[in-house]
Amino acid sequence: MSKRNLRSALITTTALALMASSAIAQDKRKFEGTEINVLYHGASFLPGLAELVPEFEAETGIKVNIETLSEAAALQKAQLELATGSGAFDIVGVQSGNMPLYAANGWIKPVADFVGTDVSDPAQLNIDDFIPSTLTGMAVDGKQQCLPFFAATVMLYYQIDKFKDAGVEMPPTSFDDFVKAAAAVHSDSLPALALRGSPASSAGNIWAFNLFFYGHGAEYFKDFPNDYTPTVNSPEAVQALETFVNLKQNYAPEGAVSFVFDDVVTSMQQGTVAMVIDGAPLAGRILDPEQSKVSGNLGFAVVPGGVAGPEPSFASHGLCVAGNSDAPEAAYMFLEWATSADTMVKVSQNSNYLATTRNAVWEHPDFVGKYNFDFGGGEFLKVYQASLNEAPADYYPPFPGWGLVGERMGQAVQEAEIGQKTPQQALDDANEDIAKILKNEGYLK
Amino acid sequence: MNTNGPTYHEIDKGLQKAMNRRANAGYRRFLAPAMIIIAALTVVPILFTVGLSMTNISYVSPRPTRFIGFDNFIQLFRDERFLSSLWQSAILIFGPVAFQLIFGFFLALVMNERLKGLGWLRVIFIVPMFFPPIVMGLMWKVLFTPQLGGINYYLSLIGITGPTWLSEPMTAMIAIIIAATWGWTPFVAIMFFTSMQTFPRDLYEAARIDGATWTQQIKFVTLPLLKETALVVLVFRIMEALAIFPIIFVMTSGGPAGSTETVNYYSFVSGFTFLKVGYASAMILTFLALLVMLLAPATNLLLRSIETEGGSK
Repeated sequence: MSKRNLRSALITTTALALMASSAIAQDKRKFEGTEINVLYHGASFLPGLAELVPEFEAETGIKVNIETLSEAAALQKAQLELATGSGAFDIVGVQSGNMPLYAANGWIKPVADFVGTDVSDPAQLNIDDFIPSTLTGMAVDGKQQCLPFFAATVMLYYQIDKFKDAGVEMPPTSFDDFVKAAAAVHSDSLPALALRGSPASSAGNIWAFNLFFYGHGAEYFKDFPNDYTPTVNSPEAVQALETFVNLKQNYAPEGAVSFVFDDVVTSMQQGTVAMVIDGAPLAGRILDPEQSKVSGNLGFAVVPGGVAGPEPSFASHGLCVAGNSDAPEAAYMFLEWATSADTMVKVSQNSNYLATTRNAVWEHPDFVGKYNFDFGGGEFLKVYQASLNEAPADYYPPFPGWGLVGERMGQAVQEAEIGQKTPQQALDDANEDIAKILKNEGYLK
Repeated sequence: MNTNGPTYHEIDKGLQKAMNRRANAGYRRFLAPAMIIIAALTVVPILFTVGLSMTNISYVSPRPTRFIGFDNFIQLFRDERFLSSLWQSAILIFGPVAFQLIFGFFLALVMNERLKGLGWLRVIFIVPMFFPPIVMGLMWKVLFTPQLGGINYYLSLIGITGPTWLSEPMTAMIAIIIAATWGWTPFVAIMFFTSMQTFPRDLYEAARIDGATWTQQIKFVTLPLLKETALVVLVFRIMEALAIFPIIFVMTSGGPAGSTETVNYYSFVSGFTFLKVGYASAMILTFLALLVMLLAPATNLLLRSIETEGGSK
């Protein structure tokens, strides 16, 4: 699958680069007085971007309003506004997993339509500079839909001294060693591990669970995208859920079953758990000098794996021009500016944003200077890059029905976690339901 | 009998009829704008929802949208998640309302006593009414969270290890019932209290002269007099309790594992997360129909009792 992705990435990049090179000079003040509205969740990028908006407004005369909500709320609101065609927003954020859904319904105007026109500035766009996998996640059938601003994968964060005291060598590379490490360090006063628990298809427990699922060699479907017969109760899948449930039931803090990413970040930031697996982009927040109690003591590692090796979670987030925007060109100008290398470097400095999708930013001295944490337990940027290389681009199977499948899976994981069902039973039920769901929606005969 | 023409009485009646008709026509003209607004805001959306519920409209499906008759409704009753959400709705609607009526009654009794310093207490009693449901949900979520909230701390002081409230199906349910009871008991108490203020004092005096104890006064004077208010409050509270949505949204999001998911929450998730708009429409209409069937007798009873009382006066 990664080969397929790579190929389409190359096609997209080449096509866009060709179009970009033939662009006409951009008139920055063409849309003076236009007002555009932007909607997405607040994680890392948008708050920092909002601080820079006055620069864009001064340059172009376009007025920009940014609305940020929680991840789940932003998703719901964006989908509602787009589906009803309200035209309330000109730019919406999209996660790579939802790209097929948005494209299938015509909810967004592909950025490919603007590249090469007089609203695009090829030097600013510099399409070849984007990390290919992030660009692929934002393309459908080889056509670039959105521009990525955020490349998220996960890593293992741990408190170096706690594991030294327990005599555990870090980091573990297999799930078995990982469980052993958790057992060795765990105590009532310091639970070993925090993971997301609240069920949801993308931002919730599946974000954490899928890395165990794929790591054990399990797959969602018999032969995606040719045969959607679900296989979520395979022996590998059951094994994955058993591992996950064991960790959550025996080595996690109280209430972890409903943890969202904020809870995980806070647990690590406050040092109330020995380790967490969550987003690499969250390191900036975890190590925020004003709030962190683990600064100087935090180790970084690629997540452990099973027979299939490590499969760190992956999602890229992008900005898109809304399908029914009444100012699509002005919106595109903003989008191109927002995802430019210059802007990204600035945002990385005025906020905790480090999940950049551009090579130029990865290599920028300001960026490296701020984020290359190393406290003797792994070099942060190196681990981040290694994780991005391991991460599967299609961590969430890319088709419009994924939300339904992922949500049902999230529920099954939680049922097993609270002991309502055994892992086998929870997954058997989920498999049956997912087959029904897919039949209902016309993916299965 | 007068055969030469209509009697005075008859003329009077006819005149009155004509006048009534005229007056009615006038009233109708004045009513028209309100009727149009009501139609636009309730009838049209409901009809639109009925239309949607008979299609397979879904944004996640590759199939084209088409008319499917009652298929959605048939599918609903095969959907285990819907059936359990019905059951959970019943618990989360009637549970809090029952407690609100009980606690509201006792609060009203206390408020009704003319004790010194009660003025301030009355103000404190109604504080929960000022909280918007979202704020209320957030506050209780914090209180019920083991690491943050006070509830388990105070329980530990008396030697009880508190549960992880919102992480287990049973305790999550109890937590929501507690929050909802806390939030709307003051409304019930105020309704009961204002009603009690109108009860004639002499009834109590007569009862006392007859040797009735305090509990007997409550049983034989207060409660019978309160019956109608109680019925009004009950109907209003049940209707309003359907809007328990924000508390669930904030405190549990229907979890853990769907154990606190009510029908309106499931319908919201189906419509706005799963984007199965036709199915969600069918679900909420079914719920509406069930509620109308349930509440119609109570409302009828209420209107009849008010009418008969009006007639006797």
